[in-house]
Amino acid sequence: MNALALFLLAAPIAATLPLMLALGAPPAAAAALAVGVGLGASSIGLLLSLLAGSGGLLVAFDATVVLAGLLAAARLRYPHVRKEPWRPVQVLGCALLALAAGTALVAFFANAFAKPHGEWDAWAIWNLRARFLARAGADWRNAFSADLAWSHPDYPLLLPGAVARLWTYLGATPTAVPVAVALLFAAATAVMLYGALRDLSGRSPAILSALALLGTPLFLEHATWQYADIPLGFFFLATLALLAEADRWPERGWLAFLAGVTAGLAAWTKNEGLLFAALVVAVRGASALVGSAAERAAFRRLALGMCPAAVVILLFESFIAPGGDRFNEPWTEVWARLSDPARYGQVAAALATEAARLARWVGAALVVYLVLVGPAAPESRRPSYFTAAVVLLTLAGYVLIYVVTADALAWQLRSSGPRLLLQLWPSVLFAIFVAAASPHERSMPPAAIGERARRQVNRRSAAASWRRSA
Amino acid sequence: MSIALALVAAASLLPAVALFLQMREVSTAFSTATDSVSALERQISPFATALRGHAVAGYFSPRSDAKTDVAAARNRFIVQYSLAPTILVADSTQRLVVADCAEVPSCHALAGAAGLEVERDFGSGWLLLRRPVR
Repeated sequence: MNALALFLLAAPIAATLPLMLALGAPPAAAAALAVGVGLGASSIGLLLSLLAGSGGLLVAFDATVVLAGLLAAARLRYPHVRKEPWRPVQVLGCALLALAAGTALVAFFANAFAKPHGEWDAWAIWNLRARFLARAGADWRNAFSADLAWSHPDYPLLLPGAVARLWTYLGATPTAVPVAVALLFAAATAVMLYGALRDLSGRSPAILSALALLGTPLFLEHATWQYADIPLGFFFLATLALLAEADRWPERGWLAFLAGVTAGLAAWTKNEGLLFAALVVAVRGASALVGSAAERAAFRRLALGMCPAAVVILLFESFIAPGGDRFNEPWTEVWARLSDPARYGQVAAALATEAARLARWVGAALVVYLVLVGPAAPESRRPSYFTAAVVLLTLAGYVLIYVVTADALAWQLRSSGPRLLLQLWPSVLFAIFVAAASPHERSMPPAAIGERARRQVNRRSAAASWRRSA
Repeated sequence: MSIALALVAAASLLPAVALFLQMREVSTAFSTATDSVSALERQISPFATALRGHAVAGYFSPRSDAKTDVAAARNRFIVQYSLAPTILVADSTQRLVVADCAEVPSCHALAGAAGLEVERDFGSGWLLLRRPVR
């Protein structure tokens, strides 16, 4: 990948970073969010320029993103950083994390060199679509032709759009671009997990969670395969982590807006993201109805953040995506499958097997870890309830989709089961480490925990009053 | 507590250890583009120039039915991926037709029977066929 390609890839990410910081994201999480939101915005820019039939619009869109980033950088005052002294065990943990990250990189590049086009879904769906968008010029709508029905032309365009934007600028379609995008999303997921937990629970759970993610072979495998499930898993995690932070620090309420943006981008990545975004709205909306004024304000910001992606998805569904035939089946047949208990058993058994395969040694170690450290203090573990609720509801949605599918169920479960679970895995790790006591919290006497909680509340109040005075 | 931390860290590093052991044994680690998609793409790259400017072309493979045979379908999808933005349709009545005749010695005869002429022979069973204008 040459310098121009690197610059074009980095520009929307670098421009988005100060915006993330200005909206209250802590530095590590902001860097991860900049990758997701920056690449998501770039895919939207490409779609708008294609619809308008003007390459100039793509340049104007990118220039606007960069300008917004510069303005945010100029006004940036107080990035939120949680102060915490380093402990020797954390230094060791960081060294192990660096080792795991280095190994993950070696594995990623070894696979990317051997398979630069990725695996089946990457070349048959995402990169195929990106090639059409970048190479077809005025005939870009051919990417959604009925003759390509086997490649799911109704799937949303975040991933192919981000890749095609770079290819359009370069005037060529090097495989290094989708490889780089896949690597960025995988790295952003690990950094997001670290950054959010560093903010919410401290450095030790943050290091352990990132280690656990990088120690999941299926995660690394799917990252090198260039599958959209890794970006989708990133957006799931980002949404849930940002909402947890917005709840913990009401003075950083714009994090709920950012959560809306990432939930919208999840829906712009894969159809499963639509289910996830709808569930986030439903659960948060229900809790806002009976909750406080602050919760209602957070919900309004969440909904506002979803608007840009919702408009883009509406444009895509109305003017570009071919109509599907999946809902044309008679209801009697759907009901017959829905009321067949054997199908539920088959789905549950297959998903349980795949979950065990996904978590493997890390899952077993996490169970022992949870038993040994016990639950976090009630206030600390509260965000894990919402995360767990959304993850379980999304999983329930997946189960229902499997149950009603007209395709061969065993084949569907075998081919897509691991990927669907992988989408939820980073969020599951987040929920586990928020719910578990921090190792150092566990080793403190109860009085010390109370004192630490009091200091944290004082620090938050100080930060809030500092912001008001600023 | 240290046991809990050590357990999670050790379990997380297991894939790293496995990877290093694996890479020591595999001599092809870091070899470039050894997969079937890259290999097929290299084979059929001459088609891309020949099809430039054609939005649609036919796809003809007498080997097996791409609708029922997964390997044949995979082949056709890779060819489509390689030749995008030309759309390949399983229809030999198109003006230009990409023929995948590897291991099919009678391909020329089959093409002739379908009313197609060989425009170019790219070797390894890959032919660009043309339907003569009547």
